[in-house]
Amino acid sequence: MKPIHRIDQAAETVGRFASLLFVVIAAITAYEVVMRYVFSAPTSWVHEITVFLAAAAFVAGGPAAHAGRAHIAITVLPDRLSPRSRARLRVLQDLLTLVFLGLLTHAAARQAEVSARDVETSGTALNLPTPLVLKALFAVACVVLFLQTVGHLREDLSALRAGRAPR
Amino acid sequence: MSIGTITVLMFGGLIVLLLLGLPLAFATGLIGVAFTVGLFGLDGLQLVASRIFTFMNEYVLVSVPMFILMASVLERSGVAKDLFSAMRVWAGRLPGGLAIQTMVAATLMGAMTGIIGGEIVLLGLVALPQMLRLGYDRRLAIGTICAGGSLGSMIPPSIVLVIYGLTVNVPVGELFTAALLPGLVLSAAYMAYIFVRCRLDPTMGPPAPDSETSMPLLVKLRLLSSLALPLLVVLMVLGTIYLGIASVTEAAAMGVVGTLAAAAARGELRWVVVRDAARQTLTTCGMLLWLSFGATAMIGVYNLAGGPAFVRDLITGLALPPLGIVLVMMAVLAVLGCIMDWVGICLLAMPIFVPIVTGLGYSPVWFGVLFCLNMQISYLSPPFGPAAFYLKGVAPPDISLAEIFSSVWPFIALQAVVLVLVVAFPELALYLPRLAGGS
Repeated sequence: MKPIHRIDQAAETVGRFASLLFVVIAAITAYEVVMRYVFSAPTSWVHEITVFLAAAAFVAGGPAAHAGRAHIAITVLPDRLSPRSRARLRVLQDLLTLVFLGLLTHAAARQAEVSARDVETSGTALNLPTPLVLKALFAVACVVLFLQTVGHLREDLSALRAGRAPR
Repeated sequence: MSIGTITVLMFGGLIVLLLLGLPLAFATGLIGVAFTVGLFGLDGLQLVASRIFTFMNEYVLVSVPMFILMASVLERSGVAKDLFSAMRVWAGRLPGGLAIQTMVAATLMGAMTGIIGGEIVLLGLVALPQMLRLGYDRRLAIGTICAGGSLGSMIPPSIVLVIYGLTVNVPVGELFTAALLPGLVLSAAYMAYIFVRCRLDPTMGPPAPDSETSMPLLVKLRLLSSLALPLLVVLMVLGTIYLGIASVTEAAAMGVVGTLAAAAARGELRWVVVRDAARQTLTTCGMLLWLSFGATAMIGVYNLAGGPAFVRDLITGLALPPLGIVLVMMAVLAVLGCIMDWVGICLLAMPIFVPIVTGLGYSPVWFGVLFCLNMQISYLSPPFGPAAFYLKGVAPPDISLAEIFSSVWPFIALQAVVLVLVVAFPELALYLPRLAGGS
């Protein structure tokens, strides 16, 4: 499904870049294995960085999937409804999603705020502020998801008004 | 509010939301945050956020995108197609030969991938038209593709087992070792079924004409040798896990590099392949992980409300023998599998079930294999049967979803039989891990 909202497009673009992190993870993990077994010189950073990069990509994956409305749902019931009822149901789904994302955003923002106040770091040899960055990214992703859903709601409302089936 | 009421409201509410068509990730998440606020106030939400944060920082979780990336690259290279052709060429004039070859290829692909979807799409595009062309019984052909393609998450590596291991704190390598034998038994059961049906009624699976099966030995060997490198990669990945040389995540990452190297050696490594594979991995992970976030929120508040103790009392109150309890759990999982995705089921039910099971003296590794087998059923069982949806996406238009669902029943029955076998003979799952020196 083609995203028509700019925020959906942005989420997809960010997702495209984030997806390359997986290739980076594979490469540096392979590097670590080779360093450890061939050169007996394990690195101190690969483990921590891979977890961080993967988590960042996972967070970005939520909005990217939402942009194409790819999150798994059971559509047995909606599929049996008339286009009009389907649009109505879609609006209800959007509203429920907004309640969830609103509360989640609240939680994520608080978490990030607390982390930022103490400038939380990983407490490892590298001691990077990765927890802070991840918590901030997660909060941003929640806001983006919320805005995407607002866009979906507007779209579904106009479908409802026009009496056509939602996308 | 009593915990009984909370239980009914939470799970009843979840089912209503799911039937309304709300995505699983948002439905579980909504129940989670709504009950957190209702029971513990707005401040309780911090708990949800911190649970999600802890979850996404698990090292073993990194293996999930690695396995998916590996599978996506394999699908996009010609390896999988060659695998199928190679199997086809090497089989004789066995009754149902083509379906059995499809199953052999599916099993080998299952050993390269840890997730379902891609494999079904591939077999649906490559194997299904061949079977239909030879005049195979449609239902047998469709069932073969759906059941065979689902083996990806039963034959190790398996994302299902990664998430299970993560949820209940069991070494994933040990789970992989344990699932190997039951996975092969399941695959053998499928093949035996196809053979017997086609033997009894040869019109169900007519052989290919001689002109297609006869091929110079040299050509056959060449076809086989093109598969040597990819198969070597598989052996490398699984070998390092079984022998405990590398962690599951490291082995999976080596698998990605190995698969890319194999594709390069075959002259198939192009930037678009890597790019598209990575994109697909991100979308899949985005769905999986956000669904996990939602489920972890929901189970977190249920734990705090005293849910596990409630369910334990409820189950022990049934006054069943231990094996009866396990079977009841299997029935519950099978029902959940009809309406929910395996990730949701794993994260919601396993934190409650597994402590009860281990309390009865059973092995959590064994139970993990049972869970994985149970999820094989969930892929095929309507109305929420992902395997059927994947096949529908690529099957000829005259094959309806209803026909697909009506075709998979014999295979669901076989899955149930193997499940009962592993319940009756736990050694099927536990022999290999012990041999490998696990617990």
